[in-house]
Amino acid sequence: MPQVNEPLFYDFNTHPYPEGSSSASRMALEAGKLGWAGVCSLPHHEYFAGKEPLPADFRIFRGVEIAAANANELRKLTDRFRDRVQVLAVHGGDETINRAACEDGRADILTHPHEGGKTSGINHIIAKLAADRNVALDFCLFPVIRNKGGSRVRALSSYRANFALVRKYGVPYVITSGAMSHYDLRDPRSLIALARLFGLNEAEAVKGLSYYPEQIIRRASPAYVMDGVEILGTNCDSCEKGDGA
Amino acid sequence: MKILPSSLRERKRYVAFRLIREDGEATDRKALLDEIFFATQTLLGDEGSSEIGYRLMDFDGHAGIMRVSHGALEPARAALATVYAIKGNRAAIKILGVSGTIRAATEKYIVSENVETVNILSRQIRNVRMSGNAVREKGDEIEVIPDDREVLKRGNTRYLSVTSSDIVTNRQE
Repeated sequence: MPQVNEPLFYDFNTHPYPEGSSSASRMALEAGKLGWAGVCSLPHHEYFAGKEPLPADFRIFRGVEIAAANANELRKLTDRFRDRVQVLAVHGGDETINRAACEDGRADILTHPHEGGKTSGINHIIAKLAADRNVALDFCLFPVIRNKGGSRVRALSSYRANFALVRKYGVPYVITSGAMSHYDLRDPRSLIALARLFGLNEAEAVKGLSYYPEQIIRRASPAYVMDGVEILGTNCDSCEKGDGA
Repeated sequence: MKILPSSLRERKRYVAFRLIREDGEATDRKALLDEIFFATQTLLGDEGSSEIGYRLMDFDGHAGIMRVSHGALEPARAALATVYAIKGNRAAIKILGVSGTIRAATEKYIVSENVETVNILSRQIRNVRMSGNAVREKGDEIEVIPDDREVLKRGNTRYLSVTSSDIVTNRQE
């Protein structure tokens, strides 16, 4: 159990059933045991059902990961999903997609930008855009946990390169497990230890597991208007009806 | 040879962990250690492994206590997190806590599990979102062989893992 003065940790990239092989409630059960305060169910959009019940006894956020072939499709899919989910992620990899996601700015997270080609997927221009528009980079530890040899080496070195840009431009970032089943979930401390392998210090790793995810949750709440403007004091039901503000 | 006085001995940390394994069977010490050494070797290499200085103090097939050196706790955690399978069976090491003595680690973190694992021969599950046969249950946790096998390939597991709430809510639908 997390202590009162400890930060709350959130794992923002899990793929429960029907994409992965553990149901959302099973993921929630295991994540609770491991000390997470919440997880985000982030299926790729072809598996997104939208209405499936999420367990009520654990903070599990509804998200979607958009896999688009080009910038135009990305925009259309963003239009379609933005209002239906709390967390919108873009399946990165292709450099034009990485850039389009950061230019658009409606996405919350850009996942694995390095997976497309030989580069790490992020350059100083994309990093600046991401910092500007508050698009968080996802440092998904799934390839580090799952793979051996070449592909893990590539993932680690891309993460190292990307984190250097994150530091320089103040880009938001999240550290996630990318779990496809509950066997892929790890406790927050283990993710911190893994994140240190590519050059983060402990404070930075904690920030990626708690501070930035909390920012994303805050943006998703109905009381949030824009950066720096939030409806306080009234409860959110009344402000949705329009008599609060 | 006379042992070193306690003040000169290397400082240690005791990591209490639980091993979960897909088939639910007990694991023997050697298989676990092989897997941990292999994971550490591939992640950190010889130099990193030597720094950690693993020693499995106690292990009953499901939970145990691993001694690591005080300064190398972080890399040890990272290496333990990369254990992915044991002898072809999906597995994961879940770290329960870390202490400075074996006694504290045992008392604080090792809780014996009293929940029985029950193998079900076959129970049909059919509802809006999933269909298949339940094969094992343990408390709330239920393992299912789904009719759609693609999902197992994507998740790289043998069973679809659900909880009892998935099945109950679905009956109401």
